[in-house]
Amino acid sequence: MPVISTRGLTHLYSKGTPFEVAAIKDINIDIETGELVGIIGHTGSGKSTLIQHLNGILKPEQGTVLLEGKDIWESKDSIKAARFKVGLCFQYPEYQLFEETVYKDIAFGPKNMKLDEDEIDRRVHKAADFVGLKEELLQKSPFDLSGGEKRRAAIAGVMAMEPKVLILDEPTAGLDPHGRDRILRLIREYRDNTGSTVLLVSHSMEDIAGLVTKVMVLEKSRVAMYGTVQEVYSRRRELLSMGLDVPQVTRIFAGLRERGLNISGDVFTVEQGRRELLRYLGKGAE
Amino acid sequence: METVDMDENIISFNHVSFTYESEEKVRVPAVKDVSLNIRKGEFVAVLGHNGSGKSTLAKLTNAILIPDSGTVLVNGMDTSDEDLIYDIRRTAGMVFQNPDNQIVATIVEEDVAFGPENLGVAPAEIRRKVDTALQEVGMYEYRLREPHKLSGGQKQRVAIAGILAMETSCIILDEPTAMLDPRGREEVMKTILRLNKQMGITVLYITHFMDEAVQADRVIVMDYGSIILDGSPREVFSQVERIKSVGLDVPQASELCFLLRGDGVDLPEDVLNAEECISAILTAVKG
Amino acid sequence: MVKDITIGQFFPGDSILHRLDARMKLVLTFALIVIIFVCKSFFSLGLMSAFVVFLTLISRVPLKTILKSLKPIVFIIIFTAVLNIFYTTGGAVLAHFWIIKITEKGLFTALFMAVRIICLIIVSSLLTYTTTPTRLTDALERLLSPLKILKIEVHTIAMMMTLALRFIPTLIEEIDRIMNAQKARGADWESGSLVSRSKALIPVLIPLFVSSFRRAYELAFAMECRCYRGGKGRTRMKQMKLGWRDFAALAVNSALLAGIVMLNIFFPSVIS
Repeated sequence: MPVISTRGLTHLYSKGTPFEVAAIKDINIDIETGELVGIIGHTGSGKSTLIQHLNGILKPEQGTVLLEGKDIWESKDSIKAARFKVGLCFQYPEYQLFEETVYKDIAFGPKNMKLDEDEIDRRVHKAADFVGLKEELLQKSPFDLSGGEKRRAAIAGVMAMEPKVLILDEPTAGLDPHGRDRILRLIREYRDNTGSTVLLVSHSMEDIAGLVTKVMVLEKSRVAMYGTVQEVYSRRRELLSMGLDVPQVTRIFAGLRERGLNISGDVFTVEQGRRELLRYLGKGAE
Repeated sequence: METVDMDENIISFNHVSFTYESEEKVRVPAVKDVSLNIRKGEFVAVLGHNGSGKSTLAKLTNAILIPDSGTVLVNGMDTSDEDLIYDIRRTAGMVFQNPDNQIVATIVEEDVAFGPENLGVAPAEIRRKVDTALQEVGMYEYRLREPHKLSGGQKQRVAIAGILAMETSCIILDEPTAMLDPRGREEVMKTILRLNKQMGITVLYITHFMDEAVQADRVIVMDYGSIILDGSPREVFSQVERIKSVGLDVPQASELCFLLRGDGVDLPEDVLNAEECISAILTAVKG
Repeated sequence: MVKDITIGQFFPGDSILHRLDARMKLVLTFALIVIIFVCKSFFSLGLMSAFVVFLTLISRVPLKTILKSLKPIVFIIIFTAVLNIFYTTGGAVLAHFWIIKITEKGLFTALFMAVRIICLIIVSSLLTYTTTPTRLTDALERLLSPLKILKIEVHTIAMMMTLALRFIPTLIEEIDRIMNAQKARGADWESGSLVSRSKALIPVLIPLFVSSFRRAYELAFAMECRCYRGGKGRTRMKQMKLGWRDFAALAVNSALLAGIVMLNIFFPSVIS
């Protein structure tokens, strides 16, 4: 059974006015446990609206959201539970930090879950450790941390809820390449270690190529594509018509094929490209 | 003291150092003995990881920060001279990273007018400059809109128009696209390139995005306060290992060729984009 | 959710009201508000109401928008009316149950107050609908500039007002964002006691304050980089010049005042 699904999910903005617009329309998705899904789409494609429905921040105009087969809007209790089972980390999450200490801030989620002190303590330490926040930092004020540390503290705050599904909206926004790589590695490790399902909203086809198990492309309020990296990225013409493109290395190998080389076009990362070309030349990769 | 060719160089750094004092009273050197000249009409990208000193460099250029040692000259004016700050900022305008925190008016055209108004320009002249500036950045149709209703890319273009209206000879942009989506980044980049190529405005562009730096005339790479690379995009990005070691990206094409060269494939060092990479590989394969 | 608050929102247009000098509008609005309370009889109030309707029509602001401005104070109007109906006594008694007396005077006073409040709100709203916040603060700045003699920093105050107006929508968006982020971690503003609900505001207010300080800091630099040095030597792109329309408006207002005073004298009513 998929861990999270939607059926006919629709959300309207400015309903009843001449400006009424469907932010998302008739979305039907099924995400299996343990998947690492990259969600791609332009601003206005509906990505943010969709993910805010998955943990109940937004209520559907039409359709349902199912968590482990059950409608999250069934009862007040189920919607409360959904908030904690589906952990949503917004863009620039460091702007929500507020507590006296980093420890207390990471503990905010677990505290709201009404867990006992020992359990909260265990979770805070586990999450902080996982994102690489040193023990000394836990007692500092979150406002004394560096930008990167703040971001990781905010992500730890959501991870401490130990959600079944972790959703991150552009977790690398505003970070330099080093910071970005660090966060992406973290996300991969999180999913590998905990077996949770992870959804990652991103702008970069290149960033997610080597990272995710599935790619979902949103366009004009609908799901345009959902499949493996190979399935989605091989549909270059469609992607281009949506204003998206494949990674540069994929274009290079497509170009080589066009010029007659009998080489695989299923290349989505530089490392894959290197291996493929060496294979073609008859040399093994070192 | 080196003599500065005042006709050619619009910005000159002469052995400039600057140190921050952090929260715990630790002195952090942000810029270490940097010397550099920027010529009129150049489009210079300054690339570096967070903490490399690139933003500090930008702020030293228009007297937001004053060097601890060394001098910064803008069109021959020393930034440490308080009396000249006004004129320095009329020569070098600055666009900041956060699109919202530089817009002061409730209507787009009134915000663009803010700069000229501060300069005491005559009202009819201001009108003309504002209209021209807005047209140059492609935001004329939005002139009566409220800023908070604009996208990030549109806000940044308004900010650029605000500087254009002051008719500065040089625009410094401090990571103007860091908070934007790809569309916004493209808008800003296209606008700035056009202003540089068509109007001859000198551009100093701070960024960590390699795909933006690659479009400049000249790329300067900073690492922990020092300039480690300075040259054309081709020259700089061919140093794949160096760039990666300071936590930056290179184009995938360059990286691919670099790795394959390590595996013994005969490929040139200065491949920058997909087309060049394809041609290079085809040549290597046939050979 | 929070985004739907419109505070004296500007409604773009090209009507006569839009084109009047902001200073004249400010002064005349103030005058009109005084005149509303000068009305002492049905006829004078009737004339005033007719004038307000006339203003609404020439402003070309849609009726729906005008009515929207009344929405928040419907409760106040009803409350005031009810208070007056039951507690103001005088003149003929119209109804009588138990200890509650509804008199002629009570009813008329209630009606009067209601109409006055409605006129007041509409006139003020028309001001903000037809004048951009920037022009309003400009007008205020210019009108108050004589106060400089008393060493009051008129320009700085006006600048502060403009910046506040500019950032209100941005701050509202930020509140929304922070609230959503905290909601996603289980923050709850709906259930629980008043105390616990107020406490639940802290996770929203603290980040808001912190980010506002940072905003102010960055904004100050941005302004300095655009050569801002306070009000000294500043010119304005949009000039304020009194034109024939402004003097016509002044004349019309004066005529209105005269008319109302006359109607007060010649047609007094129960409520004087």
